[in-house]
Amino acid sequence: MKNEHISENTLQDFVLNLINLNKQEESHLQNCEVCQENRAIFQQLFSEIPQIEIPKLSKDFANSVLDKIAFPEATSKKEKYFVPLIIGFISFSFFIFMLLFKQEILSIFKTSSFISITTAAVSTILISILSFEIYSNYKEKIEILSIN
Amino acid sequence: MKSNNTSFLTDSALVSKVIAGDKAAFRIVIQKTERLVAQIVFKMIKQENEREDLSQDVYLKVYHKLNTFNFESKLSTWIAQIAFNTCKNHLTKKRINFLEIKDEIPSNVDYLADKNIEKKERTAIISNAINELPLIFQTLVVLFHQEELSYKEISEITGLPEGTIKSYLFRARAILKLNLKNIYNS
Repeated sequence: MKNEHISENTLQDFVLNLINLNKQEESHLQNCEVCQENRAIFQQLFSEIPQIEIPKLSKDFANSVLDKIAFPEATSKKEKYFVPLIIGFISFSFFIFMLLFKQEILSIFKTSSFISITTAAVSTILISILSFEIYSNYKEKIEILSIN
Repeated sequence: MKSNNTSFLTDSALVSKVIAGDKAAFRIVIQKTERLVAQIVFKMIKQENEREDLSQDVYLKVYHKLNTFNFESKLSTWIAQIAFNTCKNHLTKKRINFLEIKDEIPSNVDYLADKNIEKKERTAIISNAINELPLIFQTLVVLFHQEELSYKEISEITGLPEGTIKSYLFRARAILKLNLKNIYNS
């Protein structure tokens, strides 16, 4: 071992603190100028490499990437709960309305006449238009607020 | 404001936000990983005009594949893997064998022994010496010594076995050592 130098791989790992040298290697290193020089060079090398300038992408890089992506419209918490809330409110109102005017409504639908069918259809359309209108107005206001 | 809130998020929270369409969250993902992506792209691609476009391609792929990210590795490692594969495919299209290592690796010992070069800063000389290494060696050196990634992480990024990575790094460092030794001796 005395005349055998420490292998470069072992020396590299030793300088990188990945391994420990055995006693033979340790004593060889203390007495061998060649291995000491190699160790010094590796130490120098490993301390110099991290100091090399890191390449950088352009300052506007992130914006350039983001501009190329069509992100889906993020839904806010308010927006997320608005539609179920409106539907719930309309259903509740309809339920109360039915409860209050139960007899009158049942009398209309007792016979499936042209009037009863038209009344049902018109009511459904009106409720749909009203709901859509309320939602559109709400969305418009939210957009204005987010722009501001 | 939003970006400040998201800058401390974990990988998992960031990914969820991006998938939900949060642009600010994706900006944070880019900011957190662009250094690593740049290291890979700049070492593998030598044409300066192609680097920026390829880096953009990397992040477009990241965005579109994000829902397939399974959290088995760090998000940065996964993104670096996409960067590596994007560059590798680009080189393959150009018929450049990225993994090719010639038997006799040119060492720029003579170049460094030049008395005029001798006066240059050692770091710059080492940087030049790294740039003379085969492409795969260059990439491994920066990932290990500059980005301080483990063999396992480098293996995940490059798809090379850990043993191969260690062997390539030993050889790369040995070449760099030769160059540095020459500076001492000259």
